[in-house]
Amino acid sequence: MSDQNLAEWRKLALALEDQVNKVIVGQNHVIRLITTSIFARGHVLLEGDVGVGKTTILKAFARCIGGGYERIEGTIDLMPNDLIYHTYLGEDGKPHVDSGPVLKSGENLSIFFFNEINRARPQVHSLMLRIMAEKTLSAFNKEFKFPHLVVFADRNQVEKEETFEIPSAARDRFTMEIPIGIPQDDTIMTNLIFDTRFHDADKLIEKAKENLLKFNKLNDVSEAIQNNIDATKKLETYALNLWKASSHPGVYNIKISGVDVNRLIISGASPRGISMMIKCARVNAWLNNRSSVLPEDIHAVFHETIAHRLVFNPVYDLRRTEIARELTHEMLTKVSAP
Amino acid sequence: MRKLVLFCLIFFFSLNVFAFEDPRKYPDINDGYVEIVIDEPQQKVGYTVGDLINRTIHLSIKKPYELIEESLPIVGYEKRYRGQLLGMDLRRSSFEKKESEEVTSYTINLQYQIFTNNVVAKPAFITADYYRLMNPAEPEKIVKFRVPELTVAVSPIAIFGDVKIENDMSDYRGPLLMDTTSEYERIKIAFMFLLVALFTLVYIYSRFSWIPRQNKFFNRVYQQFKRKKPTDDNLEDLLKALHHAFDKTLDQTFFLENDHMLYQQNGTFKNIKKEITQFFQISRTIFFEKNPKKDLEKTYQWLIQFALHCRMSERKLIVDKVDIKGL
Repeated sequence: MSDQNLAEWRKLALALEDQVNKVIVGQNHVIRLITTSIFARGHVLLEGDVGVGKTTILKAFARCIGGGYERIEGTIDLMPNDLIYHTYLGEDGKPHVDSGPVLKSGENLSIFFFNEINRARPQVHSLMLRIMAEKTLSAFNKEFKFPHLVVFADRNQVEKEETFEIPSAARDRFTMEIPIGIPQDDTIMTNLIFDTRFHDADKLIEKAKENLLKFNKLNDVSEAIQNNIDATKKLETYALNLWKASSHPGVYNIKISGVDVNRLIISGASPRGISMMIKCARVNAWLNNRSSVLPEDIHAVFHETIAHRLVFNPVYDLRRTEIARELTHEMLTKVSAP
Repeated sequence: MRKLVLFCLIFFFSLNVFAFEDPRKYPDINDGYVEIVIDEPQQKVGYTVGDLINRTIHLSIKKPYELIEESLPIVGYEKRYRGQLLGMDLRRSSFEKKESEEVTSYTINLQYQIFTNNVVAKPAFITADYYRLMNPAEPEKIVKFRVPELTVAVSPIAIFGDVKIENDMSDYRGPLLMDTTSEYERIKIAFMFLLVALFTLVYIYSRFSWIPRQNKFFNRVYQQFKRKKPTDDNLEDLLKALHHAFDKTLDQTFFLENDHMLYQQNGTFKNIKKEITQFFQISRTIFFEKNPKKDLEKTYQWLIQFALHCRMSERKLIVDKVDIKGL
């Protein structure tokens, strides 16, 4: 793909952001991260409180990207086969088998939206892991492929009852875990209360331009971005140091109040995690119209690509969100570049 | 002939005697005209050669009488008692006079020095003085007022003269000084100098912080690189050193994203904000761009100038805006 094509795709990417920003206000940073993840071809896990717009934001993206879009709600009685097929008695009185949400769009499936993923059982997580990692599924003696698939999932961290914690191996499949909160700007908050266009989410989503991107070209664009955006030796060293710091924060003089950092980490960022981080940093550089990755590009995606992959000592796992935020911040402030 | 010589001798001595006017010949002033208060030294015994005795006399003389100031004791006058030298000289004399409608007040400061000693403790005294007063309306009628004597005791330097001070001139013993005033003056000056030096140091520390080992990171960078040749390696090292100095200053890695923390810590850096932004642009180009385009010498010189500006900012000195130039 030529530089000119990449520049045109960049315009499209920014237009995509504009469209979603029309639907969701005060979440520019989250929208930039999701855009980054889409062009890095990574799966996204959104984490936030109830009613902050997680589902709306993902639906708006799905509308703009185009292709097959399917969703499923995570419930405690959801079984893996519910994703693949469902059976019913037809009008003719005979049993029928229909494709489930994963198979319905076939190869054109571009976005699979798993709402409240942590309410589903581990068996379901397990199936999703395979689909996310391999983008294939074996069913009915046949292998189905989903080359354009990106999984968007969300989870509510506040409620813990009837939920299943997503294991670290499953979390690692998500390129980013993006925290989403309530906007802090008073004007935006007032608009969310009184502006009637925000009261009907479905109507609001319709304002986003449909099929803005060609979903079946995204893999090529992503590859071109990764091939065209440079990373120098100095940046490689910086990324390597960050990776090491994720496993041995004590060596880098990282301190967190009330936490023994030498006992905090059981397992640092995985090789897949750190490579996804660089992938996203390259996309961020491209979105900012740069030809090389800068430390700032890494900073822009570091917490969201790394924090959820760290395996903490169970003693500290209850304070995971708070400690992970502080830890990644400390890593960026203590590891020097260059 | 013998009678003539005797007469001449008597005449000669009588002239000498008359030369020293005896104040006791004047009548005493009537009671109620003079009030006297004397601040005597607290030490009354143990004086020896060279010691000083201070005596302050407060006199209040009611009008119409006035003190004849010439009757005050004269410096250097040797006190005698029954023709014998007492070994106590008046060393310093001064007075202050305050006049009101009814009373004239005098504060007379007298300092005596002792020049006598003995093998045993022995009484010594400053004899009484007679101050003369007169009524200006009747200048010929001079009256006197008696200032009482002061009795003290002199003591030997050594017991029974076993140790003679002149034979005990050890190197470790300082010379016996008759007067310590100059030493006290020197101590005062030295103390003042010490105070000024301390205040200066505190000021420097709080204001400019360039005391050794106190935050002078940029000074080290500037000194280290200002004379080096502009080569690719030196340029990279200089950039790294500057980054390192910023990190040390902030005690964390410094990026443009957290520059507000630097300005919060030391507001003087705000004056070179433009240069800091430019520095990051250069650093990005050199370290993170493939095949960076640069004018080596110009870039190096600019960075040296930038290091100097950082050093000034570190010392809280404001960089002249004229000196802030882009690359």
